[in-house]
Amino acid sequence: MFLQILGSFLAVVAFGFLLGSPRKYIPYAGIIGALGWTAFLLLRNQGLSIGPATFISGCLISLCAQILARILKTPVTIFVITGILPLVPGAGMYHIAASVIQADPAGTSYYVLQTLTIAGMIAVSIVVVDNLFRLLPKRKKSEVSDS
Amino acid sequence: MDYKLLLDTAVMAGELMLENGAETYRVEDTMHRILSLSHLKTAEVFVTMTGFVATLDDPSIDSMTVVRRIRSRTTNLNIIHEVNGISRNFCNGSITLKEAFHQIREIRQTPPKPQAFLVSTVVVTASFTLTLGGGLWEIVVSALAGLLMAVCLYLCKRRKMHSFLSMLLSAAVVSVTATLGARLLPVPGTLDNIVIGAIMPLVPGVAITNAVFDTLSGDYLSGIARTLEAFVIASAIAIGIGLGLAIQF
Repeated sequence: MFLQILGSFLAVVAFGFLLGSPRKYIPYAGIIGALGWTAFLLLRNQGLSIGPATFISGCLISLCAQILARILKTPVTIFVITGILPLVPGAGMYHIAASVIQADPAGTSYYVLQTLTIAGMIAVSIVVVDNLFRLLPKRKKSEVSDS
Repeated sequence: MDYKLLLDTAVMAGELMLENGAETYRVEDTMHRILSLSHLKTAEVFVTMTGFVATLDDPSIDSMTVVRRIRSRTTNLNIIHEVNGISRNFCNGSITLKEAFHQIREIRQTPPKPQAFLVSTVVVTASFTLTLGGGLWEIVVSALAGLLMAVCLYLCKRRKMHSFLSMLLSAAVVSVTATLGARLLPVPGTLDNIVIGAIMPLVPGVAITNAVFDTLSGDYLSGIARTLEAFVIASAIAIGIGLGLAIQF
């Protein structure tokens, strides 16, 4: 499992280079990605199904990304796009293609549904955290005006 | 203030950001901020994923409108980050309009480096296979598949091939390499880990993330467009893998 986490860190870092991420932010993105993947593996080991596990680790990733983006004053996307990558359903796409080739319609529909669930869960986790963060600054302002 | 130069600066910033994979709402926001520095009566921007319109108008001047069509889209987060920084500096007054214009033009003239693209693709594919729990030989085959895929993608880009076809071809290259590699391996390996790791650089993670952010900020048109983009990329990859796997079965 340690090797897998190391792998996710390396993958996210290399992806940062591939997408031309600003050099100084790449290590942070790698740590976020590895953290998310660790959470995902742990949750899966606890017997949680793939949907909720993706959702929770997606939330963790976008939470860290939002915090870092605010500290470092850079667009959130730089951390979210790279950090979320280990969760993106590449496996699903492969299984869809493989089951189509093997003429296994039950398998195909299972994997299509699974891929859509994962993509949807990633989207929902980003949405939830982003919306929570949009609430925060307003609250601070109202506190200031109250005092 | 030179309104023409201001409009040109905003247009160039928007063009760069949109071409390099920024979310639509961010492009609209950046351009609007730059244009509203003119303090003219009308400073409007309308951005979609495939192009934008920007206009400046006031009773005191002739109205100016620019339309730009964005044909190619790649992802370069550094350019987004830099344009964002320049426009922020310009809007809070720490650099002048001329400086902002020249800095943005400089970014556009910096050429991309293909070597970095090759190396990082190989590292991505190898380490994703490691992430999925692949063994040493699987990682080696996956790195090889990644290398061939990167070469294929680069050649397709140079021939200006349509992105659907280039994705399909690259995915096919991956699955053919992986299928042959898994057969020739000294140790029996699973095909799954190799193929899944090696297609990760193609997977539409950027499209999914941007679709979410655009939809969230109320830009439904771009949200739908990017969701569709993600589906098109995904189906190209699936068809490509299928073609390659057909050899095996």
